[in-house]
Amino acid sequence: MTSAAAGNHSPHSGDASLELDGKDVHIQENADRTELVLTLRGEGHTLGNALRYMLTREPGVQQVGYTIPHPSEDCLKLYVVSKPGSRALDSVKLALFHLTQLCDIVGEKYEEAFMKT
Amino acid sequence: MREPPVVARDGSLFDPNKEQERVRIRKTLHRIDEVSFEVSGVDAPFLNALRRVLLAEVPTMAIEYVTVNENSTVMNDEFLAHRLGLVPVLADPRRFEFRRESDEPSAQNTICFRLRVPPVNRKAHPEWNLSDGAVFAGDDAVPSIPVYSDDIIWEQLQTRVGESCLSSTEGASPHRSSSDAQQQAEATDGLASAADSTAAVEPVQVQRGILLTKMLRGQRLDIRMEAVKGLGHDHAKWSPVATAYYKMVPRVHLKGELKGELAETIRGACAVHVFDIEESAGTLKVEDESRCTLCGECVRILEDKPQLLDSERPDNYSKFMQPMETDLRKVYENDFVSVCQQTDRFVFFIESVGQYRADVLFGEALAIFHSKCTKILEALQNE
Ligand code: SF4
Repeated sequence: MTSAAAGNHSPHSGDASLELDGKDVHIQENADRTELVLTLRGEGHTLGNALRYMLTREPGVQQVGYTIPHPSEDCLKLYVVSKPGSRALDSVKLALFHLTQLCDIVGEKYEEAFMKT
Repeated sequence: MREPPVVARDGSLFDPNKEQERVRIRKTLHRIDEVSFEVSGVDAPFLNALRRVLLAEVPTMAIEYVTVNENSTVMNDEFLAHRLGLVPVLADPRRFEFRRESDEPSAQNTICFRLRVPPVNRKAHPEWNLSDGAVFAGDDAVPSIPVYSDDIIWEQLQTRVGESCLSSTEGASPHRSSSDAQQQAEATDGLASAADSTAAVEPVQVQRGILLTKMLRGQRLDIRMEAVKGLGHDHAKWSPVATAYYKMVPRVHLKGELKGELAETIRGACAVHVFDIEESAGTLKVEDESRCTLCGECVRILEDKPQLLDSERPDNYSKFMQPMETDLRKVYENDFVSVCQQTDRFVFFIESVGQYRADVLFGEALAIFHSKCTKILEALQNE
């Protein structure tokens, strides 16, 4: 489907955060932008499943799935189909933003539960 | 028998205000090395992401480079090095940076340790001071001397221009008396003028009391170690948690009053003592359902005892037929007991290895997951 993955990818070294900085994000869309394959290097099920879950809760999304094409390749593929008239990538951005919001909410509740004496 | 797992509430769109109201966290255990709390209103995929971050992506310091100067014990160098790597380094990883292949070791990215047995200061270690005769007297097995992680001593790292090797100046070990430290410093062969920089860098301890190897008198160990920052992703020694997991809150219902042999059977079936028998009435009760591991034994045991099933059907059976809550998923059930999971409520357990306080770990995981999302968001911003 895409040739984005293999090739120049270096094996995971001891320092993942350094790789994250130069993250490789690859976007493939169809003509009307309702279908999207997003390839993220250096990500796995941690983000994949959470992002898939959040996308199911976005209004513009019709279908969403993700896969790790090969376990030895540090790479995640997200497949999104949006409803006609909306762009799939916008839903992904929204979902990522909502995940950060959820982090903040849960963090706040956790602080409340643990840090008050 | 099991229904498919519940992964998400369907059809509910994400709305931060509603989420704010729905999310509830209640702490159930708060210790320095262990916390547990109940979360409701958050779905499993999000909690699972946090669990995975805790296990694999919260950085810690761990011994990575081991230089064996001398090892005449029976334990192989590589075996010993592996054991050393697993000893928790009790330094706050947030004070350190990652060290890339190309980086010079510095106080910002490396912690140095040294293990020398027999110790330079033998007076404090009577087991090394026996005369040969005392050790080898008699036909008994030659006593072996255990080497514990207590003997791993922090060393000041000295960065000298054009040279990446370690200094030979030993820092004061935090758990030895000052006179010990002095003697050690005198005994070492190198420079002893690191006093000014020593003040700036705090000594670091490793977890004490871990058995590394055993050796005999006459054998020697001299090992230098460098601890660097890393992720559990690459090796479990960098994982900050002994374990981090969550489970749906288990609910155990009894359908009516159970007595006699039936009650005894069910009580005895549960290995984690969920049930107890009421002293006065002699009836079975649920003592602590949170202990339940969903093994199903309390339900399964009656399959082998059909005579019990027929003779003791509860009188008020119908009253207890249905559990009240709506978010319950039945896992095991018969006419007497039902074991359920509450699908919208989780208990989360975090056990720290020691580098972090257990109660800050969850916050760290949230922050790391947050920055993961933000970084991708930034990368996508101009598309
Ligand atoms: S299912 Fe729960 S209550 Fe029943 S025996 Fe197992 S642990 Fe005990």
